[in-house]
Amino acid sequence: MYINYARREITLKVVYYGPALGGKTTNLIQIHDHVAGNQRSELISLKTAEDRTLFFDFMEVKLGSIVGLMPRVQLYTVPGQSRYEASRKLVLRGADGVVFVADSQISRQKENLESWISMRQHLCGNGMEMSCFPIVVQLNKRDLPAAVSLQLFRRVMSVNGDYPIIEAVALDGSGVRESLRLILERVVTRLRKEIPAARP
Amino acid sequence: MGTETQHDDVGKGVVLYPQQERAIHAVLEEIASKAAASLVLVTTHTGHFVASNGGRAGMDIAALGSLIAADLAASQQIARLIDETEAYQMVLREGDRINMFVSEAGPALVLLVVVPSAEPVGWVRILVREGSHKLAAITQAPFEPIGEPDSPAPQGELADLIGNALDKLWTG
Repeated sequence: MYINYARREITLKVVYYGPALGGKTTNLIQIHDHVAGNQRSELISLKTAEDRTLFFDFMEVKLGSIVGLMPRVQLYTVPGQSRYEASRKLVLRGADGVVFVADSQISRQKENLESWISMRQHLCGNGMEMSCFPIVVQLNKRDLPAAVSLQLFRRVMSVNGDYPIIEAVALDGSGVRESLRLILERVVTRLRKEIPAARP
Repeated sequence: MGTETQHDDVGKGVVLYPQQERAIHAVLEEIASKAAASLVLVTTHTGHFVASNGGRAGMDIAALGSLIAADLAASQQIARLIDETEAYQMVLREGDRINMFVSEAGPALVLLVVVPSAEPVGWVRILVREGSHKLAAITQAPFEPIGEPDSPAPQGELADLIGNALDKLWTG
């Protein structure tokens, strides 16, 4: 989080984390496509020649003037491929909240779990108390015929009620706005003591 | 300025008070003037844009800020992998027309200076280093928040308002 008192700006950082090919970049593309150009930055993608995320994708959304404050949200994705562990840790630096984008395919549950564990390790390793750090789980690709059940997903991942799960089909935009909205609400609630007073 | 005390921490923010912002702008102006810089820009270590001097109209400073911070972070990580003891301070990128200096400015900030390639590299390097030290001192000095309200924003309400603002932005 970055607060500029003179300009009454609050800038928050939300990271989309998760296994490779789970839909993290698709989430940002959808947000980019659904927010007017004057309210967002360009979508920056540092990709490999194979069109896979190399370091991160980035965009900023300006939420306009809200009770005298100017909130902005910076959205990042991490590279999902296992070889980019060091990059993922760097992108997580300074995150105020995480949307964990999980893959609904039964065959990808091991990758979901590995990614979940690595994310928790990075956050814990950086001194973050997991019980209060805002995380929203987005269970993506719900349109697949053999998608994992919500119950099985919770059991495999040991995700209890502490972390809300939003079912999504990021490719058609379903669940994308809901995930972003929920993580923003959680981040703002957690950071309440640090955000300057509102002015009517 | 409340700052991150380590580079690896997560969830701790940077808070900039008006007097600090003015001091940062003065440093940027001094560097721009002495180095004939076309752009001097400061971001936080996590890529939040803080201030700039120069640059062209319509420049996407939010994206630029994220890339500058990532550039330095990646270079620092490379240095650590090669030699754990190396405290990497500055990245120089020499081009045909411009040279870019990306420098750590204390634990909270990153400084970018863009100069014409005709400017002596050694001279600019000195200015960047001095400017970085000054910026670090500004962020590390104990500043009292002057004139800021005591009570925080009505948070339950603010969370809802931010959610509603996102809904309004959403098209299609």
